[in-house]
Amino acid sequence: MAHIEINDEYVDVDFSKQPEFVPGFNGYGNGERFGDYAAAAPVLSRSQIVAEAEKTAAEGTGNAQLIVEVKNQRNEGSCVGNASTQGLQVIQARRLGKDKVTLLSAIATYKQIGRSPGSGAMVDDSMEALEGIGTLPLDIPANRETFGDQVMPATGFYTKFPANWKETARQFRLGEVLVVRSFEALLSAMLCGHPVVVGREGHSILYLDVIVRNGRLYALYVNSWGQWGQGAGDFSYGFGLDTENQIKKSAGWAYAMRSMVERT
Amino acid sequence: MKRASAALSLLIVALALGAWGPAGAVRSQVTPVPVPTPSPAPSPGPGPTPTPAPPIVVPIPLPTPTPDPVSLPIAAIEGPKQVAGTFMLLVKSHAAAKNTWRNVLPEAAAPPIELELKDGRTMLWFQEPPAGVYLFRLRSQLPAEGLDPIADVEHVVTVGALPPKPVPPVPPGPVPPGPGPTPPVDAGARHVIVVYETADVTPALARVLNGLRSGMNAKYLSDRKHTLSLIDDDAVNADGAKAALLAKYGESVKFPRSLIVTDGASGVVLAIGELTDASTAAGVIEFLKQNGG
Repeated sequence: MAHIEINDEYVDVDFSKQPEFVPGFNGYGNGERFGDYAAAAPVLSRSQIVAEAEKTAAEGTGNAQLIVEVKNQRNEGSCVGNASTQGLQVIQARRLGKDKVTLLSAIATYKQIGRSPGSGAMVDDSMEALEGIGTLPLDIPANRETFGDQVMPATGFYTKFPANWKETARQFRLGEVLVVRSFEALLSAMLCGHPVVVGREGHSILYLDVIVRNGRLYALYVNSWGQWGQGAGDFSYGFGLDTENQIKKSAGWAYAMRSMVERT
Repeated sequence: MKRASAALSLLIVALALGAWGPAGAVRSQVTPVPVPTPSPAPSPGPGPTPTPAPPIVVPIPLPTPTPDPVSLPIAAIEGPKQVAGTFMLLVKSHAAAKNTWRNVLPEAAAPPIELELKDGRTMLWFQEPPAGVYLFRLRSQLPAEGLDPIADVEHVVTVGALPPKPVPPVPPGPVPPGPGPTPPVDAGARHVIVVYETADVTPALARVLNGLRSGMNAKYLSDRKHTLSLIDDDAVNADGAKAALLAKYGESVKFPRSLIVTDGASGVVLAIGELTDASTAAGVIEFLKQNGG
């Protein structure tokens, strides 16, 4: 990533005290059906994490560069759906290119895992939905042109799914999801390019990059509160940072998204 | 890799030690011994124990494994480099290390028999393997705080009378395809394909992939109408079938991390290279330029 100026206002934010906050993160869930990241990939030591993060920052090649849209959940507790769907967009951006990302509907994901606009959801349910069923393109003109009525808005829990929506949704699915269970594994996953869905204080966000400042480690995340937050990647807003203590709150059971299925 | 019976493993331990000596032995002092072809072939079932060839069993005390991770190499592969047929490899890694193999073997090669030796080493036994070049790559990680816990070791075995064509080296950047006259390449739009295994992605490779998708490199590609595909080597489509890109270019996937440049219009493969942890996004662009992009 280009050099990140850290705005202290958005470091270790207590989400529950922000005006945009709507409770939506109900926990990580069981997740036993997903593999363990540490068993599937090398986990870096702290010294390696620092060294690799500094190289990534120097080259400007963090995952934040792959963000093509900052989502806005507005007044619904759909943060889990937003963070998960954002993760799938990041994977699309790497696989296909930023200009070829199909923007996706977070509410189409959240409707599968929440009971009401404010019920919130669990992350493992979201991973399971995105892996097994998928989600729909966002209702924007470009997607209407390609997918017709097989689109959904960004918000609006009570919006009905179009007929036969699962036929389209299966084209937008996650390939591989792994459970992250340690601080080092979480940061290693990010450094290897995998976005990680985490949550704390009733809110879910998407961890993207490891930042090092004066020997301290930060996790850069993208939020789903529209123009909230500081800049990163191509955006002047939308992002926040967690320090080590906050990262550790999320590190016991987070979800790394590693791949997607190809469209037919 | 299947496992042979314990009885057979004892025999093979003796054979292996006779052939190569224990860990740490000076290789040049070991007289090369033809690797005996076991008869009968290893079988997991009970039966009479085969009689070993008598002269090559050398009773050498097995080394005692030490728990100190610093005093041991994290991993090592020992074995012959040129053989006529059956061969064995000895793999040594620290007991606490996690090993990941990325081998490139001839298509017809059968999996080896894997035997755990008493000294902690593992023996891989390739019985009557087809001729070809066998490239073994082992990544071994020792999760020890404060140490560099990852070791990458490589061993190449050439089986049979092959022409003196070396195994493709692992250069710091992408390399052009094998020897031979290279026809002039017309400049034009290219499709650049990077095929990799997601489980094998390191921070270095992630920097290459993201570096191609952002900044000046991405601009270079888009300005010249090049397309770029970064795809997992076992990606499937929504129907569960192999991804179309892999079905089309699977034969060009020569390395664990292959870089394939094709003509944008015809799809003809123009060049194949390998990405390593020393590769950079700029190096990929340079490779592209060398091939008409």
